[in-house]
Amino acid sequence: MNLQILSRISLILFLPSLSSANYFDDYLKCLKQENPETRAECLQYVSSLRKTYGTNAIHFLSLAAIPCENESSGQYFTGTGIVIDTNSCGQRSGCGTNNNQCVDTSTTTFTDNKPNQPFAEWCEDCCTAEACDQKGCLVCKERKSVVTEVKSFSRRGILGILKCFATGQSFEQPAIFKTLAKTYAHFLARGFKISCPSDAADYHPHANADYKTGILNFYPAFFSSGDLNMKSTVGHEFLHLSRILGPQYQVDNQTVATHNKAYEKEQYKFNAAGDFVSQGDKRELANIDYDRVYACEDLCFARDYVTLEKCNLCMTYAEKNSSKGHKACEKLIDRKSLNSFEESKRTVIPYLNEYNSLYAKKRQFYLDQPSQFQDDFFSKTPSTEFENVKNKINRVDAAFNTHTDLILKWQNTDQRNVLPLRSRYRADRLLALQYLFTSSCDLVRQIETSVGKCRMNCSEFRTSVKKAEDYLYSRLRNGISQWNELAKLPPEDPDGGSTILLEVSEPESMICRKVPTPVYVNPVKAARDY
Amino acid sequence: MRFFYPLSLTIFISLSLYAPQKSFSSNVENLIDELESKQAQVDTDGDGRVDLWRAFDKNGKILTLNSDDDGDGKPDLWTVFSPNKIVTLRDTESNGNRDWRKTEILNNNGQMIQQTIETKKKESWQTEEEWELVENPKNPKKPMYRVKRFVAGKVEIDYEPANLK
Repeated sequence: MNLQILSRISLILFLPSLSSANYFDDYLKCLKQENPETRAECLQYVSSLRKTYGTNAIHFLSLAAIPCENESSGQYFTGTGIVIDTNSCGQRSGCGTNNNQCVDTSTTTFTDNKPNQPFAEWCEDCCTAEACDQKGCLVCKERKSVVTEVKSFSRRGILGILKCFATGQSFEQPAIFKTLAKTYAHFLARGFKISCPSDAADYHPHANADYKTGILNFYPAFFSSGDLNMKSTVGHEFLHLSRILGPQYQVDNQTVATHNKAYEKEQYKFNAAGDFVSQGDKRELANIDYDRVYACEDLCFARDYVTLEKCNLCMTYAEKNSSKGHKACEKLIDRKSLNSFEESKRTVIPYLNEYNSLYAKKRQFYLDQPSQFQDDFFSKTPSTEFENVKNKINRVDAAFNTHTDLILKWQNTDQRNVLPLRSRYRADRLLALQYLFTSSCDLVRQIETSVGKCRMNCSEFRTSVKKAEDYLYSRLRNGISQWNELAKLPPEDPDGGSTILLEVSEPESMICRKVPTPVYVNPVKAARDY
Repeated sequence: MRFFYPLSLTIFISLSLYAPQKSFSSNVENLIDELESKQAQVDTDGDGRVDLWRAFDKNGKILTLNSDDDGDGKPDLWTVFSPNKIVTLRDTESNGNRDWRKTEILNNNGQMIQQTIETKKKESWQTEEEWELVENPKNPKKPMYRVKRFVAGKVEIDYEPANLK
């Protein structure tokens, strides 16, 4: 999870809330009435407490360990103050009860842009349109398991961020630790909710938090992967809730301008015109300090990647850890390389979008023609079509080379002495490969479709495109080889958690699905032959 | 007897040194457990002093939550929970005066529909900020907050929902 992406998301979102004292009423009602199984456990527990301590000593909320679900409200009470919205975090609507109905083609998680391309027909392979994010079908998981996972990572995320700032840890910040502990106490009192809205407009994974409603939102792209272990993201979002204690206690100020920009040394606020301006308010941390917070968050959780700069920023914050920190950071990728990588990723997307848009127009134009002209249309345009395809292939290929070089560079870097950090890069490399596969597969599929639509005098076009297609497949196979090599490495996450590796356990699945070439019959030719 | 005291001291020190130390992770988890189990008094920073006080009714519903942020052993933040209303007071100058107040009004669904932040100056409360849940012109299903900020009793900044992102 790239927190830089996350951090640029506006953090003010307003949804219906269950916050505040009503949490207790709902929770108690749930325990008493809604769930027979839980109620039985509840009564048994209460009974034993009564025997021991007497009726008056019993606090229902000493039953914190007992979860319950209120099906009518779609809320799952973890019993700790955290409530999971089972309507959103559970099974996607329309996916049925069988996991197998969904095609497990994981989405790329890199793009900042919503692809604007005619992929709707691909979604027909998915169990529902809602489960398709235009890059493939979302994995539909059984609701119970999803809720269990969300429950697990939400608590671990909060625990993780607390550990991060605690005395004796990599980023020892007693004040922040204390603030977060009290924030947790406040939200245990008010109740706070984890939601996974499926109606997000953005097509990259992100999350946000709103301290006023006590809602943490995690958006669907997270749930397209096989693992929901997003504890670091929960931890990050939980930081935003600290604002509940008052403006001077917030760990960040929840604005885009102050998120994660190390070079800014002063905090920003709205001015009268609604712009962000530097305020220099001494009560708040400056941006460079916020950034250290985010940098260290990454170091506190094993599955996110950090840059050399972020690592140094964190490690040098606590002076006593500086030498150790620098050593740990020595072999990490620098910002320039990362930027280059990010930039090359971004350059591919417009090309693909442009191609897809062009192809869609052409296809629509073709379909709009009277049938007697359809053959002519394609027969007269193979060279133009081929040039378009060739150009796109070249551009994607160039991007592929850039990625591969960078990936190889990372592979050749000996990071075995910094295992927790290495895992982040490994995850990133795998994501890069996944991205490339997906991009290339998009192109291959369209080439295949293109060839399929060509009816007459297309042999030159068909042959040339076939060569290009073979070339791309060959690149994909090379990529898969790299992927396999990476997959052979032993697990490195000391927590045993794994987000990315689960997705690559079967690298063959990354090979593009072959689209059967339609068999066309030329009615004119058929009539003549007849 | 002459040797007893040093011996007992030695034993005491030895026992102290060899007493099993809780791992750090365990300490944080214990803190989380204490917070979740509605313990009335909690030492959140592990310095040996209570800095969080809570009171619950007989059903365990939270009534008050007070905390000490400046480490003097006394509360400087007080939160009172009641149906449809949460009031938070703070001593920002660590001088024993409650000089900051936040009042949240909630609807029956628990959603904050109004919030007022005030500071006490010369024994009188002055409004600094007001939040009010209003209709979102772009999306009626998702109401947003209108925010007013005051300087010397006058509205200096007024954020209309359309300007909020």
